[in-house]
Amino acid sequence: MHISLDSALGRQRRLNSVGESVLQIAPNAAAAYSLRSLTGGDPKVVRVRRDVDNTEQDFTASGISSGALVDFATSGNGVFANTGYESFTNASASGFTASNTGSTGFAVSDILDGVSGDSVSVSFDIDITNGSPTISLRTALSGGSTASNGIVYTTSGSKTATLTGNKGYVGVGFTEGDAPSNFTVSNFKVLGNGFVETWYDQSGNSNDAVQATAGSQPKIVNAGSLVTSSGLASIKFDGTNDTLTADSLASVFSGTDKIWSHFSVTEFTTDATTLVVASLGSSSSNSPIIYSGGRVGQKYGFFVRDDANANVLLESGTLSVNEPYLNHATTNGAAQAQFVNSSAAGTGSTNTGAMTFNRFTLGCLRRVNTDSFLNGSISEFIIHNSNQSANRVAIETNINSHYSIF
Amino acid sequence: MLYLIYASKEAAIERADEEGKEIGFDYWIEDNGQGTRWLTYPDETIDYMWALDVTNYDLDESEESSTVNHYTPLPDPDDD
Repeated sequence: MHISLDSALGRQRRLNSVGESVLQIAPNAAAAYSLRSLTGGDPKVVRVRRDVDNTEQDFTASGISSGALVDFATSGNGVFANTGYESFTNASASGFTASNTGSTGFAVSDILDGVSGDSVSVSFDIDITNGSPTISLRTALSGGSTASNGIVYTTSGSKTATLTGNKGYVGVGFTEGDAPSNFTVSNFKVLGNGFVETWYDQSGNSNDAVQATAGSQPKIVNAGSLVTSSGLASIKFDGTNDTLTADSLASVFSGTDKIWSHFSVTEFTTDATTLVVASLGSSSSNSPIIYSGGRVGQKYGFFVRDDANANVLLESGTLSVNEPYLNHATTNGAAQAQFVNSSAAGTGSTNTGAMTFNRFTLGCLRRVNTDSFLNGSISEFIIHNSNQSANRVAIETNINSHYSIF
Repeated sequence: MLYLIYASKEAAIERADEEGKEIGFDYWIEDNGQGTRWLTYPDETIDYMWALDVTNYDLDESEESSTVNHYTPLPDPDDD
């Protein structure tokens, strides 16, 4: 079997029809990960854990674009509770009104426990009639003591505060500063983070990419703001240990002369080492491998190696860090090709034999060992086990119409 | 970083499970086999033991006295 590179160019669909989704252009994907709809509907795309209280929630594509995901990640703190204010009204998780004439009061909201050195950023509106309210982390929800730097407010307005623990803490709270005091806090939000527990497969094959370990989950909301690439939602991998795995996908590509074809939207943060966006591997052998990712010198690479170590590496010309790229690469056991931003970026004609995979990973090269972690972001990764050369330009046009990459 | 070293992967995961339950991750609340389960997951060491990053774990006194500051991971293959 041989892929004739764009041999079907004359018959190729140059443009997708208006409103046509990627999976309508090229159905039967093996897996399709994105934060937008690839189906034309409003599918569930991601399950997110917020760090303020470790609650998880599923989101559809519209839930991301509407701001519901960010709202989720910036809520979850407890209702403000009073200790000592003479008057305390309108208490909720987003604020309160407090006053006193001589006593010492504390209004404290429960947040995820932290230790010395941990930081918490919050935003809120404050309306001060008198007094000089002070915000800090607290060692207890009732009583206790200050557990961080304190920030004093003497003017009303919208505020953002970053508090760094100097001991263990369980809450964030306001005290009056001096008495008499009368002030209202509203729109209080912990500028939390959201982490991806599941990136749902939109292909219909249920090859969801998951990460059950909190410390290895990539980030989608950072300090209260959506992670973006090209101004659109993306998932940031930290280059240390963040991954998402979908091993159920691997067997699709096991065998001889199996076709692998992917389209991805990615961004690299560094070019100092190999940064693998996605890989197929084996838990019992360091061969075979298929991977796509950034290579040293900021080149886009596509690497294929079979069970017997026959291998081929395609590399693009020099690219830029912190810029999004649309990448497409394919192999069929006899020929390989790579495109970056719809331009040819390497071809190969290595005849590869049998490949036996049981691991598929986004964010690193994972076979017996795990390394080459991605320091960068993935916005979209669509995989077919069929020849998509006739659909290539239409798919790339669809993707670029959404992301405006080139 | 603080690590506890275990002779088996199963023992390390058992400790990771205990911490995940204590934190209240979704996996332990929903009981549907989905959701975040662990804070950290063990890595294999060069001498085929298992190192669990317990830096942010709530350790008992016995565990605190057993932590190490580093370990040598299983070497990466030099293969590409």
